[in-house]
Amino acid sequence: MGAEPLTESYFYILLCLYDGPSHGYGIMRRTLELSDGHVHIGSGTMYGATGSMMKKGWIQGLPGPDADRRRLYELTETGREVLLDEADRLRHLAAAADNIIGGER
Amino acid sequence: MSKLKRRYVMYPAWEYKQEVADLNALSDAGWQLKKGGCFRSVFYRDETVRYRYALDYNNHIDDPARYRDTFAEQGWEFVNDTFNGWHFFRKRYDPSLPEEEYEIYTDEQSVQDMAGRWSRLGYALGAVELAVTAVNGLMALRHPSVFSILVTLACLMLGVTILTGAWRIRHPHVAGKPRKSLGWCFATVFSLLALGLLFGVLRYYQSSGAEYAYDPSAPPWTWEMSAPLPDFYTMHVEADTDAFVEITVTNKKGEVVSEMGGGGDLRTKETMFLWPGKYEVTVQYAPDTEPGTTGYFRFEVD
Repeated sequence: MGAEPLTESYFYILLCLYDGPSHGYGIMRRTLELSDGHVHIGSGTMYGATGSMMKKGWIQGLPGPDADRRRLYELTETGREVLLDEADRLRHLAAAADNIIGGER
Repeated sequence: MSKLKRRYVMYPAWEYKQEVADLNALSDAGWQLKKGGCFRSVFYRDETVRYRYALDYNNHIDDPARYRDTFAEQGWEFVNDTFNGWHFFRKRYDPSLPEEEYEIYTDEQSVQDMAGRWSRLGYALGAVELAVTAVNGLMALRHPSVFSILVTLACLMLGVTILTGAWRIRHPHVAGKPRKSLGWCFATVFSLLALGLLFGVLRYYQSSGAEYAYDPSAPPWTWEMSAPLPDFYTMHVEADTDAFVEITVTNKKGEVVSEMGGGGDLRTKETMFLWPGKYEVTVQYAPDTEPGTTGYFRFEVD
């Protein structure tokens, strides 16, 4: 039995940090963009998810630039592994669905 | 100084969405929240803006600066927090933005996490309340009074309401819309407590006693006691006599309300329900008692 699947919010937060550190607002905007406007991460969800992932050691907080109070988040090596595993799992699921359903829609 | 309005409303925790909806409606009507509270909220008049509000429950914020910053990043302005872990935020309303912009919890997991934080507290409070009910119930059985019965009922109602609420906040889809009766439930609980307290305060302790020798030609020993409220009263009797005595409690119409008797070292108690009024306690020696037989009697009523 592998790790539990990530929620959409957790997945997108990790995905948004893959290319480099970002702050909460940046993650929220990028998530909207990547999900074609389907996934919006509200402030309460963002605080809880980033806090939980920092405790798990998947991401870490960095102080923002001096003029900017916003805190940056950065993916850790563990977080990167979690993201890649989840991407694999999702690819596998999508491939299984393709095998059966194909391009019905 | 702008006009202020105070609103005294208590929302149960599991009706926090209703509170948000009411705050939004008040903002649309020109009343902006200055300070939110569990029992009292203060609003100021400003018809030039419209806000949308968010309520978060988090009684253990490990990084307050990061918490506030995460909300500020998305345009949420902190209004205030309450002693028990509720945080009020507001954001200027822009009708062109989608409704998701005004949601702070946007996935099922985080909604459940927030609900879970309160429901853990709710289950603990409900369990404590039921334990208090059990203790009160036992006391009411041992020493019945309107006060103890009302307090037991109020505790039971409060405990059941809190436990139901703790369940409802975790199962909003099953629980459906908030029931208006919950507000009535709280009103009933507080009325029961207030009434119980009134009964408790207005009761008073009465006592009397005498050392009394039997004289067949003299009237029996009597004591007038009163019942200030319709309630259960317990009469504790302590007597020491060589003869058999009969103790009766009669009302003003002469109807016997309670009867007890015994001899020797007598210690007994009698619980009776009395309507308000004066009552006469009579101690009567048995007819075959030797004249001059003495006895000591003491009565305490509470």
